[in-house]
Amino acid sequence: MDVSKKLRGTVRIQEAPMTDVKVMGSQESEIAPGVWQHAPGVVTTSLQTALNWGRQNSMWYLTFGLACCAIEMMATGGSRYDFDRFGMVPWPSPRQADLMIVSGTVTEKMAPRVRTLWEQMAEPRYVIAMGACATNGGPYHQGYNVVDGVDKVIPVDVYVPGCPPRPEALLYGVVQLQRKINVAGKQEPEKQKQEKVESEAVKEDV
Amino acid sequence: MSEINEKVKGRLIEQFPGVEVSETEFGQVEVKAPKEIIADLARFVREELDFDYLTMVAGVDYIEYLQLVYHIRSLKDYAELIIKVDVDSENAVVASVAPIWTGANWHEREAMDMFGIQFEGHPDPRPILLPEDWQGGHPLRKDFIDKRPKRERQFRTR
Ligand code: SF4
Repeated sequence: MDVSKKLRGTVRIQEAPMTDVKVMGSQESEIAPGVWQHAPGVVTTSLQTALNWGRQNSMWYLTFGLACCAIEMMATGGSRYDFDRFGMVPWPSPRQADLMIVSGTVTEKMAPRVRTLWEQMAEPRYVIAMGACATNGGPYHQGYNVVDGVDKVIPVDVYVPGCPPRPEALLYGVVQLQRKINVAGKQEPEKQKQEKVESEAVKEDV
Repeated sequence: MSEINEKVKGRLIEQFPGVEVSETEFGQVEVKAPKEIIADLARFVREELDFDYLTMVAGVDYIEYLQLVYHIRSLKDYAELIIKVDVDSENAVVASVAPIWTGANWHEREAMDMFGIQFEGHPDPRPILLPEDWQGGHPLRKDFIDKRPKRERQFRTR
């Protein structure tokens, strides 16, 4: 029986490499089949995997709406689409929030406030720019008082297009952010790997 | 309803002989007043005629002049009163009614932002919708020009 596969199913560590999760103290062959369904036993994993797992499954988002997109965000938080499935809870204080969903038009009056809220959030913090307005100004692109894109004010992790994005789109954006969190600090980005290989090759040549 | 309107009209004409009083098709009393008497008129309306609820203060730009429109309700008599005050667009200074109806505070700040009307005696005359350091003019005036650098409209071709 493939114990580690079973185990992965039980504790739900997603996308972790197979070598990351191990059962301590025994060979696979010594374990009686069926035990792991009821008692997962001792699990080891890398700290980074555990951190990422925790972060990606408890993103508390700041209760914070700027314009019409906020209505759609509330709909996504409601029982039909249900942010709770991802462990996401609306949180009224930036001090304990992990995620800021910028839902709506950012005016020049509001931009410093958005910045302040973002600075008050504890790291690691993530930002989703929801809708055309938060992405680039959207329909109010040429307005006299509209910041064209919240990325002029704070760094953005995921952009969700639409005016407004449907709840499915926002949920897809959240899943993308989870994927982003999950690979953080674990895998080397392709490009760096490539460069490393190339530099080693150069060394060998020398 | 209409007896109350008649009473209000009579009291207003009696107290302020200069004002134009009429009735709209929706049963509201409409008063056109010169801007010098707005503070007295507001205090009279509030204290003597029981108009205790200011619904809104709006500004209008008629190019030659600006106008302020006050919608006031009486919760006791279910009557509605509209006061219209013409304001010079160059020298737009009016007495504030925020000390009389507290609800006028933010409405007047908005008119200040959007039309550049100054309210004398306003308790908190800061910009409400525009940034604190806004220098770009008054957006709802007809002669407003957006001074920010023009940006290209981004078109997407399919
Ligand atoms: S993107 Fe559309 S729906 Fe969202 S805030 Fe802007 S105008 Fe409103």
